[in-house]
Amino acid sequence: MLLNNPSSVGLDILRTRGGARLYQLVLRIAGVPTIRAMPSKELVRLGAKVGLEASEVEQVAENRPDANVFPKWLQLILAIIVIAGSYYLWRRMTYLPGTLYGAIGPRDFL
Amino acid sequence: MVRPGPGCAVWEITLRCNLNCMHCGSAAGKARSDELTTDEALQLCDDLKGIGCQGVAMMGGEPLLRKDWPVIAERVRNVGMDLSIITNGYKIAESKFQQILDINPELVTVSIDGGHAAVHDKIRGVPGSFKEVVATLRRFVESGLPTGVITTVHKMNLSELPTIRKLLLGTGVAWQIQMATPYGRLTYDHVLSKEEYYSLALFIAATRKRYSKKEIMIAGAHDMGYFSRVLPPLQVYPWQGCQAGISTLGIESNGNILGCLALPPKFVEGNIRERPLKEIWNDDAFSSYTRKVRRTDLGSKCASCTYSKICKGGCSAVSHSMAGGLHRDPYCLRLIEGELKKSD
Repeated sequence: MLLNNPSSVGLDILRTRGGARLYQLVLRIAGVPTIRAMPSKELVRLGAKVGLEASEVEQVAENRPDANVFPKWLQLILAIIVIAGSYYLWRRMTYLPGTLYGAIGPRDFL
Repeated sequence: MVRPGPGCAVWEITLRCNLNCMHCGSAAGKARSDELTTDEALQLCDDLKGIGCQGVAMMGGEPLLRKDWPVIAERVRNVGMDLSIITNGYKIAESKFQQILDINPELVTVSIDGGHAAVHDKIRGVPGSFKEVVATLRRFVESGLPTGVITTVHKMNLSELPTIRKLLLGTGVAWQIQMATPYGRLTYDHVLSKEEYYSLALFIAATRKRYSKKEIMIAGAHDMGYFSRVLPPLQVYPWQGCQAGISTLGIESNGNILGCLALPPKFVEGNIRERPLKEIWNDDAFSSYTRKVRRTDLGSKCASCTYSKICKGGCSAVSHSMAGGLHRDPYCLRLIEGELKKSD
């Protein structure tokens, strides 16, 4: 498990910065085998409560970052990204300009 | 110290409302006895611009029940701020609709809380409100105004989401989903359990995965997160901690100022009748619970989280109402995933 692994932090940051595609690209370039993670029974059960089929839950959870195995060199690159990313976030985390938190509109999805 | 202005001021221009929603956080109904006069409201528009505010989300109560709402809206536009109007969509006469079109806001948002009339009407406390809001939504969409829909989720409407989605598919609206918190009229027994909250998150994630943005634009609000190990981000913008008093500002209809309008009266930190907005906003002590978060302010689970510095303990309103203190939001996907894992 990567729960306590620093590299998982880097991956999560890639995801949270809206870099899902970049995240996939890194995996592809690195030739990292992606273990297809079946969702736990818990996820399927919770999804069923809102009318989701097991396949829909599976689609959402299929690329979960805790289901990948990373070589050491990739962990090193990710650790560097984490340090640089953390510095960047630290610099700007006190202000989020222009955020329209009142209500989300179509233009927010552009 | 002069701070950058908020991206958006969420302004309750009146507490008066023609619905009686069971989840209303401000228990709206009657107007406050001391609401701002037209002159005071117009001055406030200028003052908001003066602190560098970029946009105003005009809400209530029901904002369109305030007679001078077009004057205030006009001033917001004239001083160069974005305008969004959040309405319940109930009983909007043709003349009022035309006024909205004339003002041409950046966004108009209606609230839909059920996919079936019986559920929506029960939640909103007025029979026929579903029929009205759906008709209003259609008018907005057909007029070409950028339109949003807000659904506030609690136990009574969690299972309604697929039906609401069906209603909104292909309309081009942006659908904001938020969790109801136990303020105002909402009682604790109607608040989602953590498991139900996770189901809600799954619904948002699955909808984003299954449908294109052309079919439906859906996102979780500020209380839907954070840093899940399993699900992709649910919000439009990456979560960077509670934005109360940082990029958002709450204004009550009597001029009370607080970091975020979702917070209860205890968090009021000034009134524009007693102190200029500029002074309140630039006061070093204003919204210090978000502007100056220390690690020791965080709940123990949040303090030990990898993302503590970015997240700062989730949504202040949820944290305060459900955990009795700030910076310890128990409705956190990452936290819930850990708890589910333990129970597996």
